[in-house]
Amino acid sequence: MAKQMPKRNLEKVGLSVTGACVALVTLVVVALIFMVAQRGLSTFIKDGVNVAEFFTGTEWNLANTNEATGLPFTGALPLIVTSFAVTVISTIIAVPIAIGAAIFVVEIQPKFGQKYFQPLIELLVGIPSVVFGLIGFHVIVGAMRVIFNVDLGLGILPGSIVLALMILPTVTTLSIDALRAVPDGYRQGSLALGYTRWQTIWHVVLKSATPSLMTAVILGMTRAFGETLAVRMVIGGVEAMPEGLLDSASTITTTLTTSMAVYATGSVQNDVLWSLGLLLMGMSLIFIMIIHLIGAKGAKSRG
Amino acid sequence: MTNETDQFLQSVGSSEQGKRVSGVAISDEVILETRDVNVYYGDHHALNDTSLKFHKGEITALIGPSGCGKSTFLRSLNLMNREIRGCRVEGEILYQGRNINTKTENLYELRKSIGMVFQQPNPFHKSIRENITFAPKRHGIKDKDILDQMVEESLRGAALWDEVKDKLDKSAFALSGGQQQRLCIARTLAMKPDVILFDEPCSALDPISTLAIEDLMGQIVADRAIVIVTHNMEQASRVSNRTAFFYMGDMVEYGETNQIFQRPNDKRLNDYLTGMFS
Repeated sequence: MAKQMPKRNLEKVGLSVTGACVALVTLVVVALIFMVAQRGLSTFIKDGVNVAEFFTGTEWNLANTNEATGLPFTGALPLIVTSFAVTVISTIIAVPIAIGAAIFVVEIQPKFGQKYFQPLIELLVGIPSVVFGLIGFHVIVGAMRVIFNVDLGLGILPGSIVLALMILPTVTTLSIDALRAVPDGYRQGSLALGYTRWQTIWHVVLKSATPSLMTAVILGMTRAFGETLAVRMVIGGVEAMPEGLLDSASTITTTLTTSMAVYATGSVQNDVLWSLGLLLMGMSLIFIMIIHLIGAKGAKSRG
Repeated sequence: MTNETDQFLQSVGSSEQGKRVSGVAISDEVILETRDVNVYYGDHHALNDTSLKFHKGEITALIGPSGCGKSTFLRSLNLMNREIRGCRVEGEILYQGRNINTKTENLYELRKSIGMVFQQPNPFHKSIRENITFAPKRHGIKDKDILDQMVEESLRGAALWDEVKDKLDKSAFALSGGQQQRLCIARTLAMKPDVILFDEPCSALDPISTLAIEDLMGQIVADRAIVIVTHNMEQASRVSNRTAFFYMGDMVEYGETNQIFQRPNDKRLNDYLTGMFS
């Protein structure tokens, strides 16, 4: 070291470096929100697409023009419905399995859980989504064809199953943490009052872990709602209102990836894709707000 | 000390004296008895051949240094040890003359009769009312009037009713530590147990709350047996009729509390009482 920096200067450098990091992150977030909002809203302000029509219209066709309005068909309801369908169904599949697994490793076999199960789960988190999509396309879609005797086997159901597999590790890990956080005194108190182990798990452990478990579920849903690639590989990619769980469909995210490079910047078609992006951001904001509300409520009831 | 505290201490002292003469054994009716109980955690032999009797209307204190086996013994009495993996309890535990340390004993019914209060107040994450009705509901009582009556009776029994009667539906976590502990006692009383086991019930409480709990034990012991594990020698001598001293997994000496504290026979007990080790 050539020359020792005076202490006071060092403090100033630290302050400005960390402060700059904060400023940068803030700038990026604000710029991002502003940009998506500006482009997304110009669909309705500049291009004159009806907001109600966007949310309730059932025909999505960017390539053709509606003679009546002179605009492409931008009814996003089929995409919204499909997105919510895959999110809800995948959650319904994944959550019971995740909580069941969490009960086993926390309440029944803690040693097995720590030694073998959690490393396994962490491995699952690291698998790229394209691998899930590949497995989904070759195994799950194939199984759909055989089980339900359909031609394609693509659609909401295989999409939901793939998503369920993908969110399973997240929800399981968070559920395990939620159950571990339940004070042991609750279990002891319950057992000492004559509750059996299962009654204790059901009435005491799960009950008091409910807020944290809800958070786990909603984080899983957030991930399912935003996941694109793996879903795109098994859902069929038809931008129309699905008529069943095994009817090819398209979510908000998969539509975005399919159409993003097709239309010129500034065109109605391009703007409306930004509107979809804005919708996705709004939804994730709502999910995060719900998590905060649960957290605040939990903190309040704990006194 | 404030005037209020003074008054409280006086009232505590007087009511205790009025009801019981502490340190003197008064009863012959045995509710719970152990014969040659041994407890193992895996290969570790934590408790050797312990035989004790617990009498109706009496408080028995279990004392001894940390790790001496007193808590292990207490947790054998309602077979809470069975919930610990690798723990094995051998010997006979006779409740009302019947051996309960068997494979066929219904522990969950038994624990209605042998209640337990823990070191750390552990009310459930529920309202005050639900904390009391939690156990009766499990045991099949659904009628709302009966449950309401149980709530009032138990809370009165635990000297908590006047403090909480206007906020029964508030969270139990809004109560102070001492109130929470009395709520845990009320929760146990709701099952009308014949035996209540206290596992260092005051070690997490302040002195005033401690006296309130001790006073309460004196009030509820009348028609049941109480067993208390405590690190606090003065507490043991204040509240108990009989005392058992444990040392390194052995039950070394047992007798009336006065005798144990004033004329200990065993040298280890004498050393312990005079503070040679703790």
